[in-house]
This record gives sequence, C-alpha cells and structure tokens, in this order.
Amino acid sequence: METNEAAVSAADTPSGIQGHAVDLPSFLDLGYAGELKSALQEAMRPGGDLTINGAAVESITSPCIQVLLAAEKTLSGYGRSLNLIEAPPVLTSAFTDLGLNHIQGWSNTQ
Amino acid sequence: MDDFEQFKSTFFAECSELLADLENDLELLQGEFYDKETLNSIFRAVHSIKAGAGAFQFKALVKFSHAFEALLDLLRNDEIPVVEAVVTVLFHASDVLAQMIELARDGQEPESGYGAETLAELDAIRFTARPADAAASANAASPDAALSNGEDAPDGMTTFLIKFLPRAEMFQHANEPLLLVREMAQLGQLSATPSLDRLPDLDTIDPEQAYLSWDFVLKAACSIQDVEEVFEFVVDDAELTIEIEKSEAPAAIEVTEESALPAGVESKNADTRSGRPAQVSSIRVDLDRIDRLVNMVGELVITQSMLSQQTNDMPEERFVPVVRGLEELALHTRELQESVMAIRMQPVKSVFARMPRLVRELATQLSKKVRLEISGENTEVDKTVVEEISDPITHMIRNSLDHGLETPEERIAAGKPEEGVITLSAEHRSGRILIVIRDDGKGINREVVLRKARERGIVAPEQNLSNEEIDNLIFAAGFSTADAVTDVSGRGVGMDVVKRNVQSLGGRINIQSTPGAGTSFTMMLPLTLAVMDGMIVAVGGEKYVLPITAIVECLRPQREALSRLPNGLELVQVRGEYIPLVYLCRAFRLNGGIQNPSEGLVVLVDSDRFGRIGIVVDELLGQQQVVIKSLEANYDPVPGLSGATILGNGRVAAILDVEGLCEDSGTDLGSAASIQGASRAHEVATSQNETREASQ
Amino acid sequence: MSKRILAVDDSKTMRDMVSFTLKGAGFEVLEAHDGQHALTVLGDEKVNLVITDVNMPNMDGLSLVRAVRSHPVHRSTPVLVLTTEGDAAKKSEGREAGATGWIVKPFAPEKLLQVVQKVCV
Repeated sequence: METNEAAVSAADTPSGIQGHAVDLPSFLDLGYAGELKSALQEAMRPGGDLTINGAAVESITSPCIQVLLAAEKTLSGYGRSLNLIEAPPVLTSAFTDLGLNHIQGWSNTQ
Repeated sequence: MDDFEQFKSTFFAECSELLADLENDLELLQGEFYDKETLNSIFRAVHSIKAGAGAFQFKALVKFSHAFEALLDLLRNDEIPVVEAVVTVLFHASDVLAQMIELARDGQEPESGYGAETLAELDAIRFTARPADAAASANAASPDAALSNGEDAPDGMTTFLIKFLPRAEMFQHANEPLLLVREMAQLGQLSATPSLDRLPDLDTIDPEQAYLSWDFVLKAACSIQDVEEVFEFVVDDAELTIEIEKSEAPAAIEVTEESALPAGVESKNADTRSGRPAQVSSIRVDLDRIDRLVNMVGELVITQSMLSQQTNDMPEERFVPVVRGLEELALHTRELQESVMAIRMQPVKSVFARMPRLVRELATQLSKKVRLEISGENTEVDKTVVEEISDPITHMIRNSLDHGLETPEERIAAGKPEEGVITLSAEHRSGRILIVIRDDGKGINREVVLRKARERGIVAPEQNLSNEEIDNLIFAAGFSTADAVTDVSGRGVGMDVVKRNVQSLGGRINIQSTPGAGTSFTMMLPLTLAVMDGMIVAVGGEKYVLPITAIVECLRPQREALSRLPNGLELVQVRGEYIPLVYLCRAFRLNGGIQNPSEGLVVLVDSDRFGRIGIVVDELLGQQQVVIKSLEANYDPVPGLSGATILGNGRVAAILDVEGLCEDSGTDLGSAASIQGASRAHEVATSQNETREASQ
Repeated sequence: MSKRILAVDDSKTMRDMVSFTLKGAGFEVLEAHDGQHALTVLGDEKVNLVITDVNMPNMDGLSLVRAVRSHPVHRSTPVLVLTTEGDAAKKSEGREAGATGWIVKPFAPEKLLQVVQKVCV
C-alpha cells in the first residue's frame, strides 16, 4: 500500500553541495500540513540546500503550500536554497494560479 | 431535465406526505392557535413541492406553487396578516395543489385555466401588499423572472479590484483559496498578486492557519454579484473588498443597482437580511433528546429513592451531613423531575385548533348550523397526552353534531335559536386535565337508548336503570343509536372504543344529558403518562402499585360486615351497600396473603364496568410517585396489570389495572379458571425481579 | 481517480437527485439517510466532500458537521449544508458548526455542480 509520507534522504543538489531531499507524498491536504512541517524541519537540520521531489503529488492545497513557502523563506534567510524538482502539472498550476510562479528559488526544473 | 424522470415516484410519495402536513398546518392556522413555525412549515411544504415540480418540469404545478409560495413568504414575514379570508384562499390553494399533483402523477396536464381563479386570488392578496410584484409579474414570462429583476449583467467588460485577506482560521471550515481563485478565473481574465508579508518562518508557522493574502485584478463581463458569489462562503473568514475600476465602469454601479430595485425587494438583499438578528425566546429540541432526558431523570428518581431507603436506618446523629445531603438530593431530584416534565408540557391548542374546521365541514355536510366555542386552549398537558386526546375529542364532537344537535328547523320548532352551540373547554383540576364537550341539542332520548340496549341484549329485560346509567349506555360495546350508519359518525369507531382508549390512558369519561337542553361529555385525564401517583400495597410479601386516582377509600371491615353469596362471591357491606371483594393474593396466587379482610385491609376502587369493588390487601405501605415502565414495550401486555415500576429497593412492582383485574376476576370471583391471567402476571413480576437481580 | 462525495439526506428524492447529478459529472457518490448513518458510512475512509441536509432524524446535519470537524480523519473534509430556504440564520448556524458552505434547495443541477467545484478539492 502506498504511504502518504515524505521520504527524506541525502541527495546531490544541482548546486553540487551535499544537501537533503524530501519526496512529497500524493496528498498534501490540511491534515498533512503538520507532518510536512516536521519533515521539512528534519531535512533542513543538517545544513545545505534542500531538494523537494514532487513527482508523486496528486493534490495540494494552501496549507501545505504555505509550509513549503515558509521553508523556502527560512532557508533563504540562511543563504541556502530550496529546489523543487519533478513538479507535476497539479503542483505547478497550484503555484501559478495563486500567483506564486515567479517567487525566487522555485520551479527551476520548469 | 428529463434526467430526473426516474425520481418521479419518490417525488410523488413525498408529495403525499407534504400535502398531509400542509393540510394539518392550515388547520392550525384556521384556529388562530399557530406560531411562526406553523407558517414556516407551510411555506416549506409548498416550497419543496415547487422544487420537485421544477425538477420534473410540471409547468402548471410550478406556476401555481410559485404564486402560493410567494404569498406564504409574505405571510411568514408578517407582511400580510393572517386573517380568515386569506386562510380560506390558502385552503383552496392547497386543494388545487393536491389536484394538480394528482394529475401530474397520472401524467396529465390540467385543463387550461384550471385553478386560475385561485391563482388570481393568491396574486390579488399578494399584490395588494406588494404592488411592485404585480408589475414584475406582469412582464414576467416565467415565474422566476421576477427574481432576476435588476441582476442583469452589464454588457461591457468590467475590471474588478479585489483585496482578499483571509483570517488565520480560514482553513477551519475547509475553505480553500486555490478553488476560489480558479472559480474567479472562470469569470474572466485574472491576475493574482500574493502577499507573503504575514508568512512566518518554518519553525514558527502554525500549519493549519492561513497567512497568505492576495490582490486580484479581474477583467470580466459579469456583475459585482457574480464576483461576490465566488467569496460567498468565506466572507466571514476574510477581509474582502471588491471595487470596480472607475475608468472603465459607470460610477458606483453598486448604488445604481441597489436603487434600481423596487422598494419592497430591498429586504431580499443579503446584507440587510443578515443584519437583522432574530429574537429568540424559545428553541426547538429534538423529541428524542427530551425523551432520553425524561428517561434518565426517571432512573435518577429511582436511584435517589433507593438511596434514601437504604440509609433510613442510619443513626441520624452520626451521619448528619450525609442525611442532610440525601434530603437535599431528594428535594432537587423532585424539582428536576418537575422541570423536565414541564419541558414536555404543551398547550392543548394544537388539538383544539383542528376542531373549527371539523365542525364547519360537518355542519355543511349535515345541513346544521353550529358555532364552536373554545376555551382553555392554553391548558398544558404532557405531549404524550396531547397526542392521545385528539381522537376522543374528534369523536365526541362528531357525535354531538351528528346525534346531539337538531336541524335548524327542529331547533326553531323547539323554540331555540337556529344556530346550535358546541363548547369545547379544558382546565386543570386536581392534578388532572378536565376536558368538556357540551352541546345545546336535544339531549339523549333515553327511551330509544334503553329500547335499543334491550334489543341488543346489553340490558336484561327486567333490569331497571337510572337515567345516568341509561345515558352511559352509549359507551357500551356494540351500541350505536344511529338508525343508519352515517358518513359522519359511522367511521368504524364506536363510543365504546373511545371510552376504552381514555381508560387505557388512566382517564375517565362521563356523559350527562338533559332532554331538550343538551348533552355534555366530561373527560378526565392524567397530565402525564410518564409518572403517576401510586399507593403501594403489600400482599403476601409482594408489593403492588394502585393508581391513587382509582382509589375511593380504604377500610378494615368488621367481621359482621362480611358475607358470602351461594356462588362463592364474597361481599363487604359499607354504609348499607354491598360491594364485591377481589382478593389480590388469590388473583395472583400468592402464598401467605391475609385471607380475612377484617385482619387486612379493603381498598375500595371504582371500576367502570363492575361498579365499586373492594380489593383485599395485607397492608398499605404508603403513597409514592412512581415512574411508569411499559410492560408492552419491555415484555408483553398482561391482563390485570397496566405497567410496572421500580421501587426504592430496586425491585420491580406491578402497577394494577383495576378494570382488567375486575374483568379477570369479575363475573365469578370464586372460579379458579378466572385467575389464570392474573397469576401469569405475578410470574412476570417475579421473573422480572429475578432478571433485575441477576443483572445487578 | 474520481472524487468521492458523501450525500446525506433523509429525503430519498433529494438523495437520489443529488447522487444522480454528481454521478453524471463523474463523481463517485456514497449515500446516507441521517447523520449517524453518515458517520458509519464514512468510517475512516477519506472522502472529498460531504453534502448534508440539515433536518434529519437521529443526528441532524449540524451535529454531523460538528462530528466531522472533530474527527481525526475527516476534520479537514469540506462539508456543504443543504438549507431549505435562503435563510441567513441557518447559514450562520452551519458556519458556526464548521460547514464549508451551503446550497439552497431547490437547486438546479448546474448550481449544485458549481458549488461542489467551489469546495471540492
């Protein structure tokens, strides 16, 4: 059975710096926002950039989008970056529709 | 919309229910004993019928129910007073509606012009209060056109500037900004500028609160209402401003649209409506909840009396706080019980209000002239009783109209006013409700009644009866004075059934008649069916409860006052009257009961069918309010018992049904065969005690 | 994967119509005849939306909304309340209970679908 949990692993970020990667689960609804926050906090702890893999995402709503934005804001405050890879249309259109498409550090795979 | 075709049968089934409700509520309206909810309920019924009719495209039905509904809407908003003329039209409309539904069910369209007269009446009343509606209706092609008045979209493109600042708790209702944005994008060309100013760091973010806000620019060929509608569900959870960009739009379009509305329609505006808080002095509560509450309080009363009984023997001086606490508990429990019972108390007016229509219709049918006078309609009884009094009252009123009142010609010939009078009254009397139905008709023709009773073998040929006894014969089983069964009284229920029903509620019914001057029925009922004042009696170690209301007196007879008939029937002489005795210990086959009434006690009770009876018991244990538990609901009906209760010691005690008890032992008290049922009853009580003990 | 909607109404006509309209638009529809039944039908399986009537026996619509809002699995599920009239009081009661939005009966199928689109994630 498919689990709706973010997978955190060490990965090579495009910048070449050793960072961490988070695989997003399929459903990113209000109920999942708290878990997403913890997963991102965990992944940010070691330092370096953070890569987020959105390949599995089937639906996302504002609460989780906010958490992702907060993570990006926090990282950029430390001069680190957040990279979203393999974002499926459902994810990119959510950002675009909310007017968030041109926010820095995003959608570098687009 | 032929899509909904398959749901037609469901719709018609529901229509029948709605029409029945409608009829019921209109009758309430007739009697002037209605409340706001009655009007709302009428509105809803017509409204639901219209909704369904719309789905199935029954055009005539939609048109008619729309006019009906529109008038009802004004009535429930107090814009038109509920006066008799209006109610009469509502009745007509309800008949037309029923007819149209029936036609629709048969797949027919009503003839053109069917119901047109009533439709015109509905509109006439509505338009006197709302001339604006008349104009709207005049150029309306469809009934709904009036509603879209003033909401035409502007033809050109409008640019809307929208500021949307969700409050933190926005997500609690599962509203989603993303969906709102997408809905807006469907209206036209949308650009969104988000603000992340409020967004905190990851460590401090509350993942379930809303932090983002937006400025939108929307270019669309729609009205401001269309844009407002997008945010319909979130206006309370966000700061929202919607403006029209000045350069491209006529100035202040909002104001223009407001003023374009006819004055009367203004109250339809959502803002004014929500700005008017409803004055609430009562709430509607689910009946189930109240029943549960009543039940629990009943259990509480039992527990409380158990506690106080078990602590009776405690040395009071050593446990002062406990004893005082228990006393208070007893007091509060009783008060709680009274308060809870008061919740279920309802005025009898809901029943009384149905009677004027009944009387009017019957009078027309019978060509009699009659006026119904009602008093005491605000007298309150438990809702369980309210439900039960409707049938007996209906029946007695029918009887008075059919058999009691004369035709106008007969009345004039007898020197009475042409119009007869039936009075229906209710009042509280000694903890019960007294309902009287009186007519000023011809009274009971005792000669005819007695002759019929003899013909039918109800009365033996040689038996002499008092006037009162003759009058009461109309309650005898199988008696009907109508020579031919009429439409009116001949509905399959005799007065004997009425009497039995009243008795099964713990009530009594009597009749008094004066030839030439009229008849009156007097019905006495308990105020509630949930609790009862009972006398606890002991027989052979078992306890039984006798309803206080049945008891006439208690006495210990002298040995000389006792006698025995050759057939074994035992009698006691009280002030010169011989009264048959029923031994409870024999009826329930108990061992160890006192066999000699002069050593025990005789409780005199009145039975309706056997007259006064003396019940022989060992001793009286005292008077107590008991919570009635139904045997039918928990076991099976048992002759001689009307129910059971749980006493302070936790044991089940049977509540005696005097009538049933007499019936069982009645005709020949000595016969062993007659006590079968009663002894079974005892087994029930015993086995229930065993069950209860086992479960403890 | 089609979205799942639970329709709760004690009136079979209404239930059938809601269900029919939604199924026609490609939704998967579950049905329940009162609030209690709705909770049983829901169990712990997620649905995308609950549409409920207000006046129902056993457990009314507003109690159902409260139950959904305090349910560990369903608390973030949107709930639409079917009101009989365009009654402001009912709407605000619904909101206080935690409803996402409302639909005023009678509704055209298009209107129902429009409102569903508005809240069904």
